[in-house]
Amino acid sequence: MSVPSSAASAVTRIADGFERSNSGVKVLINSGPSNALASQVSSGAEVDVLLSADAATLSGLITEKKISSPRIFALNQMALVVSPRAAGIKRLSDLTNASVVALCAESVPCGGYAKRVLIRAGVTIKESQITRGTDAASTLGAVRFGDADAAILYETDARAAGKSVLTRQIPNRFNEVAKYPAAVVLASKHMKTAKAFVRYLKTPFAKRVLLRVGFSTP
Amino acid sequence: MKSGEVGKKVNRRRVEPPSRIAVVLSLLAVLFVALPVIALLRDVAWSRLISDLTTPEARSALRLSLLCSISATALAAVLGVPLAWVLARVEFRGRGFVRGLVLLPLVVPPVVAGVGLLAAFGRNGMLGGTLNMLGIRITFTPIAVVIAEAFVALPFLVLAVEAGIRSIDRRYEDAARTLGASRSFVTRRITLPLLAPSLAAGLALAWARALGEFGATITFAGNIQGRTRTVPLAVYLLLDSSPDVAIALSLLLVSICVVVLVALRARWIGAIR
Repeated sequence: MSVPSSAASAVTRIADGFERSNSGVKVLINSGPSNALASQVSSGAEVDVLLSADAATLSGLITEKKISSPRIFALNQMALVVSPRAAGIKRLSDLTNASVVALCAESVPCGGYAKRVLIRAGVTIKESQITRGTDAASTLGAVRFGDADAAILYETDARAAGKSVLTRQIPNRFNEVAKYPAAVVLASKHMKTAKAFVRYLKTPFAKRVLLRVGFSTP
Repeated sequence: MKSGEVGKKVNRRRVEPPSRIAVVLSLLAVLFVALPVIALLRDVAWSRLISDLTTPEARSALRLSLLCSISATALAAVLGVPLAWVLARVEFRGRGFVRGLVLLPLVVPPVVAGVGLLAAFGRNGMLGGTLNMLGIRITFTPIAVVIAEAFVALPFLVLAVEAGIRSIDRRYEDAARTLGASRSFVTRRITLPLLAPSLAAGLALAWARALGEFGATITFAGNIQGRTRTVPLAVYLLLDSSPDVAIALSLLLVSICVVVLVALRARWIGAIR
């Protein structure tokens, strides 16, 4: 199963529950940036279930008839994550004064969402101020462990980072809702189990896990 | 190279015909290495190769990579040649330990090296306070790229140069000394010329390694266009948005490495023995 890095920890916990209620099933989780996960499936990687952080990355696979029609299982929002060293950054417009801002690469969903948030807020950050993470996890790492002042990331990443970063809410009028689709890979050799897992993502247990880490559910 | 050639002749022994299994496995091994390169060639958009390599993204990455990899090689040489000298010529306790330590960047995952460099030079790192006081910011600058690249390249230089120094016949130096030549004269006129081939090999290898550095760079120096986004980082980033440019840049990197390695014909390993 391929899982975008922003949902990896929640889905790992959900998969544990799935394994417990389906004896003999072992879920292996491959996590990374959604776009890379999609191209792996496109080039024939043996994946049973594909999750993504946005619908757009899956559109190619749908037209190629490589995956089933996706179902949204979780919703996320963007937040401004600030390093304690740069506590002066309170809102999006302050980012223009930051020395370095970490954003996901634009080809990765979190980079696309961040870009739209900035456009909506009318904030332009110079490219020479932006370090591009390869996925949500590495972008968060640039603020948490590295020297970047701030990042625009998922609400769930901000929560997972806990007290090591400061989280600033992004006003709704600028914010983006990230919709996470789940699809069955049609070449899967474990079709029944794969379908069962996608259904399992809608169970009360799965929803509880998702809500606990900061997702909302459709 | 002269001493190497003489050595080769002396060492040449009669060779048994190899077993068939060994031949087949050897061919497989060569294929194993060559296949990804051949596959890459298939994916290159040849007609657009030049225009792909001259896009603004590609050009800024190439310029930065060239500048940083050359600086990193210079840094590795300044630190690595004296070290190679000490390791080859000076007997001291813990020499084996030091040699092992210097080879660490060869085996440590580059991302881990990047985390280590952050812990040392980052704003919250060990030297962060001192650097801050001096008003020096390293992370997210080309200097960080140079440091990351020099870190991973250093072992190649030290290995090649140390082997070179060991292979120098010390009698030449001793003879010059007994004839009254000063120490610096001997270094300049005898040791360095004899060392030149190994030094060249070490520099070339270190440079090739620096040019290909990815993990330590993206972790320690970040990924900022025109400042820290070197060719390997650009390849990774562009693989989705403009795959043709990414593949064209990959081809260029591979070609450079092939040229360097073929030119050296593994002499640096031969010298180690």
